[in-house]
Amino acid sequence: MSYSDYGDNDPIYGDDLADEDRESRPRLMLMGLRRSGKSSIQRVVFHKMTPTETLFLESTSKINKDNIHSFIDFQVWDFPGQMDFFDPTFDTTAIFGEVGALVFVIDSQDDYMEALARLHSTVVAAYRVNPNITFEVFIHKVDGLSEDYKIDTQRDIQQTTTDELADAGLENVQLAFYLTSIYDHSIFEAFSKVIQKLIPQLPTLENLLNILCANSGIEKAFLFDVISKIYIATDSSPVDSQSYEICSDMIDVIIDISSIYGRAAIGAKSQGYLEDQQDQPEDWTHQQDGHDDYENSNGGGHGHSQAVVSNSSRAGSLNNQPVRSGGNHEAFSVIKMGNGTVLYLREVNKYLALICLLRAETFEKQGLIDYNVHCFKEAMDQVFELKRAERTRREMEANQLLEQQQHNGLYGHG
Amino acid sequence: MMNRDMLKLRKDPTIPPSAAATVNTSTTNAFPVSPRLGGTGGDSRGNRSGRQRTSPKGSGAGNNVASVSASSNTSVSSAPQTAANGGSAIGYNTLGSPGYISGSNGLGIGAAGGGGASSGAPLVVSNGGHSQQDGAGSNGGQSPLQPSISPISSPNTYKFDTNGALWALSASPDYSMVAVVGRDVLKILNVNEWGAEEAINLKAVGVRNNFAGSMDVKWGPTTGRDAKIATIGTNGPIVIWDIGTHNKIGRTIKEHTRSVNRICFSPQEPNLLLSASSDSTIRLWDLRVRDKPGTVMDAKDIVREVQFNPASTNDIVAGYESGNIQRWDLRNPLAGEKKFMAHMGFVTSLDYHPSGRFLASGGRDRTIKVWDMEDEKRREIHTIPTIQYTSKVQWRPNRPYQLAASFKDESTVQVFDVRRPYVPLHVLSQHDKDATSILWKDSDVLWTVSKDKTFASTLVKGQTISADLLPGGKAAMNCYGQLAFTVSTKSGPDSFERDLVPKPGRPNAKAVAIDGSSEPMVYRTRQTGGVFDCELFNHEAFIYCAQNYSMEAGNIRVVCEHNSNVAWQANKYRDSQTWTALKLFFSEMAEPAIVVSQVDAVPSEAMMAAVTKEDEQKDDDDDNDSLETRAAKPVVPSLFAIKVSDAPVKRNWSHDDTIRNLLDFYADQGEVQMCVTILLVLADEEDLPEFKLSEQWFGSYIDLLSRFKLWSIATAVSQACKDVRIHTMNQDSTTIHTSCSSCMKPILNRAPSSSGFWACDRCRKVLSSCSVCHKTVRGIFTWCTQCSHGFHLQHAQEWFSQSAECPTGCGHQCFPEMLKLQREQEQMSLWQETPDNEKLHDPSHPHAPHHHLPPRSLHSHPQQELASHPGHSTLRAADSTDAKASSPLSYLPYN
Repeated sequence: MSYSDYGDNDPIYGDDLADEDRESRPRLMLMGLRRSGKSSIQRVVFHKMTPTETLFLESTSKINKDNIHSFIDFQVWDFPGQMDFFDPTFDTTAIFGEVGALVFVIDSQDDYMEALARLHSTVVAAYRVNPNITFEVFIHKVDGLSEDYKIDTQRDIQQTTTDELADAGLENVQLAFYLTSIYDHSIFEAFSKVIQKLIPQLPTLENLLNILCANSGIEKAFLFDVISKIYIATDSSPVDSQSYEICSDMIDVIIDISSIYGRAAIGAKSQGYLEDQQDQPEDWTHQQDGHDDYENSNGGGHGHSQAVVSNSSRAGSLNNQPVRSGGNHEAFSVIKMGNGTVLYLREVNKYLALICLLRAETFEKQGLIDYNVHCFKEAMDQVFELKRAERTRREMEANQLLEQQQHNGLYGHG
Repeated sequence: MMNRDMLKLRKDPTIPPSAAATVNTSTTNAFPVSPRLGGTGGDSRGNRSGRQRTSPKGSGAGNNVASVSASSNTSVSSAPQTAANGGSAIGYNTLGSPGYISGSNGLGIGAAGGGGASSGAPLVVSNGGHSQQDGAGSNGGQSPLQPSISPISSPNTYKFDTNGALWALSASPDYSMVAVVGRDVLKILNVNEWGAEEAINLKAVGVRNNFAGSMDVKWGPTTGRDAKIATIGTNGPIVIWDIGTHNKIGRTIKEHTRSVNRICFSPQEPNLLLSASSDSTIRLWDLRVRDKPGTVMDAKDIVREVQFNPASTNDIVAGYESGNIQRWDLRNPLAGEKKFMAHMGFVTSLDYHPSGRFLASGGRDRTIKVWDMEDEKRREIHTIPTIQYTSKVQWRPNRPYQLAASFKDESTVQVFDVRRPYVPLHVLSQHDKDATSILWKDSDVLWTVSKDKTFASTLVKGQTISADLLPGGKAAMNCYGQLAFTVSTKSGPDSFERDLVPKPGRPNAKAVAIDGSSEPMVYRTRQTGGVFDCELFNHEAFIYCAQNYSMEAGNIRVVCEHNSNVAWQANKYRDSQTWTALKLFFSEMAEPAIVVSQVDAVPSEAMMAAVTKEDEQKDDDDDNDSLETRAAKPVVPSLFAIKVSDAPVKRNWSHDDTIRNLLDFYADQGEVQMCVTILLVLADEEDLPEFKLSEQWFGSYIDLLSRFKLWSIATAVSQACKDVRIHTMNQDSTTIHTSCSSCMKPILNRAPSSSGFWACDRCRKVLSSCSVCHKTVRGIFTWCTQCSHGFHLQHAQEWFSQSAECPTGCGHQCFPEMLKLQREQEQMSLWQETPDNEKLHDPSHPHAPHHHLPPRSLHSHPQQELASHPGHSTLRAADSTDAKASSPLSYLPYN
């Protein structure tokens, strides 16, 4: 259940996604001192490795490039910690030239002075090559730090780094700092914010979600990348970690249930049986009691939750089974929780799912919400149509431009 | 950007676009006793300051005493004599009978209600059918405004139903009108001190212009025909309404590419409007100039909040998604001042103090912090922990130290005095659902809006002071039978100001007081405390018995006899008799065997055995320590006799009921020591009845032993127990507490998953550094248990092969054996490998460095156990079993 399942060799998607604009695919680089947790982050976020397994990861010895095919296609480069940028053989232009975001990982449980020096030199080197890089600093392994200590550490690191950059004359370089740990959701939340900066359609998506929330009485809506559990957009109200965590947990629940009951999980032998069942209009409903682990702040412990998960026969499409989007075959699920909150999930396309948090009273008008979500999906489709059209148009223009410039003896950036 | 008409969403049909005005004025004083601060009040406070913020629900009754006493400054530790007398943390007595003494100075809940009454506010609990009307939806015009309220109510305290969840409010400059907005609401209300009525409903206009609801509203400072309000539409634009002339949209600002989070009018320049947006810009709009795009300040981060400084025309401050706060000067929109890290997670709300110097900020990390913006160091001068993150914070006018805050998912609004951060001054529970925004009308009246669709006004003056509801007296017991107590010495109803003391700050810190006085003050509860011995629990006998009881199963007769003697010496005569009785119960099984064997055995041998036994008993009186050796010695010299007595002989009656009664009796008495020891001694008996409480007995006995620092006995008990859960108790998450090597501060509250940290909280020096090479130690860390200095294992080996003194020069003889060893020309062969530590601890090893350890250490005071073992322990940090095996205590020869 990871992106590597979709790898470049994927017969259905690999080729068409890999071929188009390979050049413009944003690159996300993980850097930092050795043993700071870069590979662990990559494995946990993009390969669904459990955090405890990362203890046994070998240290990375060469640049590990990982193609991620999702809502946006990007490449994650995992750098070995001992890489030296001042080595003349190190081609900074090639590395930093097309990078989208540079994630620098600092081990907060270690003495970070050395890491800060490396961060400084990295930023200086990368900025000189490509001023458009966004720099993200993950203050990592904070799971063991006390609350007070966390903020002191972040303040210290932020202060030192920005001061040093200002001394180097790089006041304009903007660094974003995140406190992360692979043992909780913070790493996913931080990655969400990093990825969001690489998405050009973010304002549009956010606006669509805002309108959806305003018109359907939804308290909070997330657009999740299902496999990595990164949210690529949310409405403009502030994200509090509880609501993110519960939505992300919901994805796990849905994936688990659909891999038990969903079509994709059933072996080929029973396929015939399912084909017969497929035309039945009413889907099965799965009642499930006792999701008490969904702690809620105002439920006060008597959280008797009820999950009503009704998946369509293509529920497996939420799983890693790459099913062509379109048609009515999308996953859909509702979980009602003991504190009067309802979790509403609907698959948007093969990578994305919309998860909404709303009050039980609002959910009485489910038909309205369904309709509005349907509108939202259509709007999303249009956004992607536009993107596709834009891309082809740009390519054509670029080709024309190229021809002209070659004609003029110039060579442009495209 | 994308066309927002792309989404043609159907409107929510049940909410009429222009719902008729529902006026509902109910008079309610805020509850004299807020439900949160009533009976369980101490509980919620305790949770908050104890940083157990995850669940607001009450913890068990047992926690109450400890948590409250820690939070409300009534803490026992503030009484200096406690520390001197007790010497150990005052804990909660876990004996079987609850030793819980609830201290109270008479300020219970009922008394507090009386206090509220005496302060002049009439006690009205009203607001009965309110929620029904909320739900009714279409009750337009059924209840007219009641201009004259029944005389029992007080002015400025009422609620007004607006038929839609509200998000924000803003008042006209003269505070006669207020604009309230929500997802479906856009209304202007006329307000006076007795009630509110709807003046203008802008909803219809908004809908016509394809502009749904509002997230925020601000009333411009201009008046008369120029009067304006600005709102943020849920679908993007900032809308300026010309309400002075006609109720129409004057201008729509759509320049922000992403949603706008906050708008703010300049208090000095009435036509300047600031907007903070998710598109990482702050824009300044001059509303007089229509076509000019606003000044853009590129913040490079999502801007959540922006505020003007009321004392300065050009000074604004912005709060960001990343938790930073930044000050900008409007004259230089190209670059702001340096950002400073204020909160973990986004900044939710900012408010400048009327003085213009101090700034209050609320953040996702559930704190409100107060900053001195003139101090370059940017350290918070006050921190208020809150129950949830604040949605809005505002300083109270004319009360320089007070501020009010509303919280996310929280129906109450709280007023704090920053000098007393842990207990809110007032808790206002006007609303049924989440209060979303607040506004001070004047220094005594607070306006709030809420998701329960109401606008409420509350007279804060005269509200119950919630700190008065907290019981001022506290008591706690420690395991030595000492009771510590505090009684508050309240000097009067308004004693708050008199109880302020100068803030104990860092010596170098530049101290600033918010009201301009010279010295910052904090609140210190005025309390008297004391400790007395209440002799409820004979801890000396307990310790003596714990150290000397034998828990060996199998040899019941000998063990019972020994334990009987021990109990006798500890003056526990009843226990001694119990042991004797047990001996009789379980030893008579041997009698018939001997009788049978007499056929073959030489009678004189049996006699001899009896004689030996008598001798033993005499010896036991003066030396009760050598039981093991005695027991190991063959009592009866004849091989034949031993064989006979070992022969299994079935008893023909069972002691089930007796044993059960016995254990129940001791359990009722709270004597877990007896229960556990009896269970352990009888562990091999086959017909021993099941006790469903046995796990709890073991748990509390082990807990009790730990409180007396009898760690090794506690470990032995848990090892001897057959219950899997008890047996494996110390095999997971073993924690070894250490202290900082430079300031000796104990390294506390570390998560069990972590392997320690690299710097001390107090002196901020690196903790796990090697004293020899001064590098951070990774992997196996070795340290001296007394001076706390640590080493790489190899460096320790090298150093201590040369010297006995600590390499840091602290003068401590970390390894005194070294001198002796040097004399004996014993080189460090024993230290070469870690597994050899086992050999080290073996007393029988002829050259072991510890072989001269006096056996008295077993009998010495348990607190000295640690100290009496100099030397080094080796810890493989990640591996708890290793850690246990090599901790300094585990090699104490137990028994």
